[in-house]
Amino acid sequence: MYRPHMNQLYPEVLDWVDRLETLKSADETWRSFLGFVGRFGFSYGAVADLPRKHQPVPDCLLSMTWPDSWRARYREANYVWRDPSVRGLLHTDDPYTWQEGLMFEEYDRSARRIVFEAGDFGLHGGLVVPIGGIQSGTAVVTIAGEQTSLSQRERAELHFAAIYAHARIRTLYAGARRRNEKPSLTPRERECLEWAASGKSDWEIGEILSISERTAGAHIERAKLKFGVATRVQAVVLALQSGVIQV
Amino acid sequence: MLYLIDRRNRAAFDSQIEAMHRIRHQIYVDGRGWRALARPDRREVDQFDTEAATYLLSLDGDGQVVGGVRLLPTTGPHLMRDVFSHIVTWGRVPSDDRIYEMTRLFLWRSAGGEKRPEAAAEILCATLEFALVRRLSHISVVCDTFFLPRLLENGWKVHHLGLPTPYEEGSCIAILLEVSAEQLQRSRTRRGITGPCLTFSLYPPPHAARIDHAIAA
Repeated sequence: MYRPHMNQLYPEVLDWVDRLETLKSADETWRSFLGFVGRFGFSYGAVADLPRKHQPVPDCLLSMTWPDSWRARYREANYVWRDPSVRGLLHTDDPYTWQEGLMFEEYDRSARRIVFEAGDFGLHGGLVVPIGGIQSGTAVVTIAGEQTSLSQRERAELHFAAIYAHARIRTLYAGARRRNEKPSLTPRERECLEWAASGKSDWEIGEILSISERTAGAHIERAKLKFGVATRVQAVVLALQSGVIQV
Repeated sequence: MLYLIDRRNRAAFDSQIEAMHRIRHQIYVDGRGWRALARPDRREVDQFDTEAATYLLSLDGDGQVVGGVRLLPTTGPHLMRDVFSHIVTWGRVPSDDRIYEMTRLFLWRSAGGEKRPEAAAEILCATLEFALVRRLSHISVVCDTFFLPRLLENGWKVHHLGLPTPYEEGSCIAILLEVSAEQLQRSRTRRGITGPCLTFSLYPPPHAARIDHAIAA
């Protein structure tokens, strides 16, 4: 029997990933991740699903830790879709620093200022790790702090750790949602799920509700995530059982 | 359905193997821009497309190629050992008769133009079925790091052989995937696949036409 890594000296990041399995909640996992990236000079960050158009950003956040004052400023000024560190997600699947994020588009001064303004709140640099290919769309792990430059090796370790932090947090959230009998669906999610229960496709639901096929699909995906299930049939069954929807 | 094609039944699948090389050129050279693989005859063929390779090709009812994957024994020449050994920094490149390497996994549209959402899952299920029948312990893979979250999301037990490493088109990792009946079950249920995806047939479809022909003859 082949045994990988036998008698190998484990790099720290692999040790950390192995220990993740023992953490029982998303919160605990997030704190452990922040502890890990703290060694690289990052003390803040967030894990989020990438919001679809018209979807409220807070709905998409899985875990986050920002300076309160920065969070308030960010929300008040509605920075999210102008923030070059977020817009970079539209351009690449590879991790990029905030500094590198400025190069994806011709940003005007007000957009560039967002990145520099973060410095006033102790966020001098950041790394954005796109998490792709998951069933509900793209997600992202962002970390930020004092650190402004990263070696190739540090970047690779952070990339690796971010992928595992996201996977674990998402699994734990899904588990918690499964145990919780009635996840709260938005009215739109409920509506879409009710039509899905009558066998309508995303396209048909879009026609019925006068929204795009993609948006209808996004609502269903969101509902699936809230129920912690992989297929729309499972989501419909759970929603019917728990009385969240009626047909 | 995926058809297992190796040196034993390959002659009957000549046109499918040809189609695979042309599709791979379109996907990897035209689509993903891997210029190093470009060839004037527009067939993507590398040093690992030899007698040792096993292909699992997804064929539609008319025998058209709609997807596939290449499997190589790790005891011989293969991508991780011969091209990507520098990304294996935690231990050695796995070489064992119970480990095959999976490369060139691709999806292609059918004649009707659509890509079925479960097509990718079928390729992975067929690969696991192949691995279970051959009593493999692991499948080794060099893949884009971008692919890792999807593997984790689908419950794969992943052994890492090194950190993400940059290459021209992005970032890649070397991994070993654990082969188990449980994983096959998980991969099937996730996509509502209820039965085997892999078949060993001496001939490609359409079978009905062939039988008619045989009877007529």
